[in-house]
Amino acid sequence: MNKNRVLTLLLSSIFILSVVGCSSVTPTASSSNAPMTIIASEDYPSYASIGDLSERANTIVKGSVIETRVEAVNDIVQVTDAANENELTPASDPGGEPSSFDKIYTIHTIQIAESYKGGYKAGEHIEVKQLGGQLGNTEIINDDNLKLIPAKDYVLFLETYEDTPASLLNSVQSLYVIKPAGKSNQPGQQQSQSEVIVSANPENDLSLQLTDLQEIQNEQKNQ
Amino acid sequence: MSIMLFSAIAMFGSTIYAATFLTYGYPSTTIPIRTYNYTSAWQTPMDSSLANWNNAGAKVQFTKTSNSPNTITVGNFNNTAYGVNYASVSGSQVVSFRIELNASTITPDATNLSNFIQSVFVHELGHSIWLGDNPTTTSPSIMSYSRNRNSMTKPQTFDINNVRSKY
Repeated sequence: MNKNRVLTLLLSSIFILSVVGCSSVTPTASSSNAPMTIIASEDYPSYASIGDLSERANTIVKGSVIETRVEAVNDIVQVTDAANENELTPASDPGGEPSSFDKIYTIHTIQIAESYKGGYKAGEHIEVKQLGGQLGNTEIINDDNLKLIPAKDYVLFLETYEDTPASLLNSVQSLYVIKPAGKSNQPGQQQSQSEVIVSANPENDLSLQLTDLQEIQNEQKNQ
Repeated sequence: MSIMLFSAIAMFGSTIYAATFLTYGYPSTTIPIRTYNYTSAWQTPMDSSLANWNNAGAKVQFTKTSNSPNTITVGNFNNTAYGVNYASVSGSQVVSFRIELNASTITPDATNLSNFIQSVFVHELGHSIWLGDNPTTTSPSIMSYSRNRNSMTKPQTFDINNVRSKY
């Protein structure tokens, strides 16, 4: 058993105990070797237009997946700086002591081909996390997530963070696939001589066009 | 490690579209939640959220107890969701659940903080009683992503009838 495996099992154990609250009343917690399946359901903002979506995103890039890994991530914001604590309002500081725990995220490294908004440049890498994955015998299933696979080019609408990888704005409207022209038969798609933009989620009622991306990029340059 | 990576990729290959029902729900109509304690700006609407379900006529009752495995956490999280429900599931039964409310996303988007918190919390509680995300319907639903969270605070008739059909 190598070091990574030991670390994986340790993190999985911590996660299990956190989710079930160390309670003996839960059958799945009573057997340490039993597989643990946790299903995550998220409530996301919905955006009325590409304009609203791009305004909310602080980073918009085109790129492809060059590496994918599964990792335990504690995504809670640690407010340890006294100055920051003083800046918190009653709304943003709910008080209490939030019980933090490591969650299983699938993290994709994206090689950026083009940047439309934000500080990243073509050729750089950005990490994007999606809730869900399997570590040891613990699995988080997130049915809402979209498939990100290598060898495809995507346009991603992202929010970035200081301490953790970026996140897509939501699971429906913030991921688009770039396809060679003529290979897509979906209505509402934008075609050019070279490529087509298709939403990665068929439920998405927004249509992203190349001209939208050009406008976003021009606004970024003018700022 | 490569096996784990393969599993993750295989899992993400399936996008499941909006469904009215999840494949699992809490096995009884009385659902205990571990007691929580937050500032009044959060505590009051969170308590109202429980009442919103309890008074809806949906047959279910959420009750606060000190030793429940079902927990609620409010904090600032580095993700874009307003809330998440983590359900530990065995077959079609929820064994326990953890609900997170994300102050980092709720606060900036709320013009009515109390209503917004209720909308998100009532939504997340709905996941524990069989309700899925973003159902395909023209009826108003607390489970819809596009609902107005600043005004819709209670389960709607569509949601109530769906829960009643499961209990």
